[in-house]
Amino acid sequence: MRVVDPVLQELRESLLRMGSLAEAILEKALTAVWKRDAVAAGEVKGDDLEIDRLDVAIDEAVLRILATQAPVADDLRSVIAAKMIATDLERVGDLARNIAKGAVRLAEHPEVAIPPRLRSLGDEVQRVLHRALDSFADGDAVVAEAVLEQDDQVDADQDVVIRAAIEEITGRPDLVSQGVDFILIAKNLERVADHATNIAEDVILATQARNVKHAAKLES
Amino acid sequence: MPSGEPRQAGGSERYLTKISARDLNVFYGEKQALYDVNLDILRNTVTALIGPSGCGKSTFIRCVNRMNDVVVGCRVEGKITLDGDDVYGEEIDVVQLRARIGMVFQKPNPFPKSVYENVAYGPRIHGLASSRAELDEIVMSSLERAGLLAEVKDRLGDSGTSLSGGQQQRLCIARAIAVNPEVILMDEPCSALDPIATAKIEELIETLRRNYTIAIVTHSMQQAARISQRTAFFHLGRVVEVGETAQIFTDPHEPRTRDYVTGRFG
Amino acid sequence: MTELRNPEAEATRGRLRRRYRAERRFRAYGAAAIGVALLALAGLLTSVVLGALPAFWQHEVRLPVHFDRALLDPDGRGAAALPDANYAAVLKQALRERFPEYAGRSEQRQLSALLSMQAPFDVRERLLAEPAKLGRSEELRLLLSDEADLFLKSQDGEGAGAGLSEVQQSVLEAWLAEGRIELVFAWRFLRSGDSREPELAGVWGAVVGSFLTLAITLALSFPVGAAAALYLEEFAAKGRLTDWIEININNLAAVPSIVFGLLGLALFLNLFGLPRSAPLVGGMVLALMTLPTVIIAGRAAIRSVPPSIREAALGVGASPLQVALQHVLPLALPGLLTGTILGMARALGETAPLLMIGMVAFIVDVPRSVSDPATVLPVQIFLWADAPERAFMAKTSAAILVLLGFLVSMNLLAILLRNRFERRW
Repeated sequence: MRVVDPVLQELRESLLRMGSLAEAILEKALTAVWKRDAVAAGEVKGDDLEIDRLDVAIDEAVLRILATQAPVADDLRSVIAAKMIATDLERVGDLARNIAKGAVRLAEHPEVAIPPRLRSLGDEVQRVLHRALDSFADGDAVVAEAVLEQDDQVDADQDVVIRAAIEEITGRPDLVSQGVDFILIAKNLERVADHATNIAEDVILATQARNVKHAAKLES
Repeated sequence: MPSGEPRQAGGSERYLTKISARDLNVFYGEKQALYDVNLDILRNTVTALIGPSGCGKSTFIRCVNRMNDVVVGCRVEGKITLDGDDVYGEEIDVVQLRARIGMVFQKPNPFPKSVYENVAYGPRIHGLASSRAELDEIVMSSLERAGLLAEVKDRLGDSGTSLSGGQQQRLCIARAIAVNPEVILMDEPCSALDPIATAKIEELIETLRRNYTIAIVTHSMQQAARISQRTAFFHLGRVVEVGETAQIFTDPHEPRTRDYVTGRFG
Repeated sequence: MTELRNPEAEATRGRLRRRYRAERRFRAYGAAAIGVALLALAGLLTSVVLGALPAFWQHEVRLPVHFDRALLDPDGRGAAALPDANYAAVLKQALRERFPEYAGRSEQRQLSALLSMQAPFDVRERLLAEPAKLGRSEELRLLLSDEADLFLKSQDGEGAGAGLSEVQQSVLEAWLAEGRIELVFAWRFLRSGDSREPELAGVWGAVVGSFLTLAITLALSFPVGAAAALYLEEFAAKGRLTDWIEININNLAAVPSIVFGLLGLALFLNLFGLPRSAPLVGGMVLALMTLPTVIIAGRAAIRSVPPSIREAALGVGASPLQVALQHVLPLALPGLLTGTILGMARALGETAPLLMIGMVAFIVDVPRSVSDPATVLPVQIFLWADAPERAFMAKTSAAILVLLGFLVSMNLLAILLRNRFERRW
């Protein structure tokens, strides 16, 4: 076993833990929205701190590995990808916090039925994030590619939810606050999906040495 | 992916081939040291030859300037060309060949003569200077280009062996470039030196590259990554992969290459 | 601070003590061995030096001599008569005047015999240098014969003088009492060639002979040996032939030297008809004998030149010949020189091969060229050791000292040359 192997393994485990945490607080925030649970929503902020701490730890670990081990080839790509994935996961944590804030506001206002499309968007995004994290855990570029393909669908579904919410608001001006919160939650969910996409792109770079970022934009 | 064929990644089309080996097989008595080597060394680039010990890198470069001629029982089959001329051809004068292809060895080996004489010896035996003044000129400029002049200009009469290890190696480099070669072959030139001396020599190699074609055998992958533009990986007497250095160290194609550069064996 | 009290420590200490003791014993043996060697050397040198001392001092007698015109120039021819004049008569007259009591013919012969055979010639030299002295008297210093010299030398010790008659002994004692006997340093010994008369015999002829012979040896063996060593190490293809040559050269170094003498006799003297007993032939024979030593030492020196130097030179584009002559040879020179001079030191002491080519003859004249007949120091020592006259005993020891001196200076030269050419690589 090489000197660098345990260090790389530790980095990987930190990332996996960060990924689980991100999924967990996204779940908690969304559940708080669906169940109007202001208490649970309040806990999310504290949970996010743990993610932030992991982000800083991973920063340090990456610097140390680059300086002392001078990794090349696969190892180098894995280490760079790890840093990028950590950044994306940290952003997911922040977005979950935003969703939780939305949950608190919804709980404080008169109850409105959760639009079913919003709910299914939430489930969809959670699934996308989960698959992206799976592709990282398994080093599976095929699954990562599938994640990339789902992004367009998520964007489309988010558009539908927002338009429906806008229609509701124009019809019922007394429900503006809830409507706006639904829109914001939808937007945050869409950005979570973007970050999941980034994670999938990083996995492809690490495993296949192919950089597919901004592919659509660059090609046109 | 066939190994050994030069990968013409972007930018290297403007470099022409200086030295070319085709179907090179080298034997020491009964034992075969190189198997079907096909390798191009491009003009004005630094090509690093990496690989575990005993895999044929030194054997290869010693065939290029025919230093293996003096090894008893060494048999060379195949072709090596310099600017298209067969190095083992009948019209080739080995002595002239070695003036066109210089060599720097692993352990610095200055002649036990003065610093001046060390550098002047080559030009003198090849008749490159027709007067003392011209010889002085050649010696001074060689020492300058080797980055040694400032340190020895007051001690040109001192013995070459009285210099420090790093200075001795730069003296050997000055000696090699004094005969105005086209190619410089280096066989692990820094392995006997400390990091500061090594850094100086690496800097030197970078400046020399503009005027000479350089092939360097090295055990240090970091060194190969730092100073070369192309890298060839040798394993068990074969060229496993050759390509742009950046590619070999970020995305090697052959699994053996990948295992070697990431340190899974060596 | 606890003391180790377990039996393990005791045993260890015991072993340690035994080991130190063994080491001290070993060192004592070594010192004793050196002591024995030094003692033997000192004993040898002392006996040789003591035996040689008498040869460096000679007795002379101050005698008034009358350059009697009647004896020397009876016909009145003047200076022309001087070279062939009868100087022995002058001396006889001087002795008769001093000792008129020994008038008998036999007694007078005995008196004359006290002086060296050289004495009349010394008188002649004196007069020829100043012909104006003809007719006048002068007190001259005349060399005494070897028997007289020995007698006088043994005054301090054992009773010699067995070769002298009563008459001669009393004359010598009379001269002693008058203070006419002087002890002078025997420059003659170092400046003259050999002679039948011990008091006249010198070592210079042998020294020049040795020098010329060794010069020829050096001139032949060094270049040929160096070139052969260089060729065998640098250029010859390694193979059965080269191995066979190497074995033969090694064997030749151990061949008894007399065999080379036989070769010289058959080849140089009989076939080529070169002059016998000449330093030229002697040098050639000794060169053949020294060649294997030079080649072996040369090969060892060449082999010790590190291959990195050769590679460096080849890498710069030197041809194999340039590498050999400009890089390998200068670095191998100290070893080569040492080997050569050691071989020459051996050659200096060789007698047997030179006897075969005739250098055992009795040579009086100091040789002036390499083709003049000559003898060498060891042969001279051998001849003198065999001579009947007792005076030659001291001369033999003295010649041995001269030979040793020659050897020491050659070794010093070797050390000097080696230090001068030594280079660090």
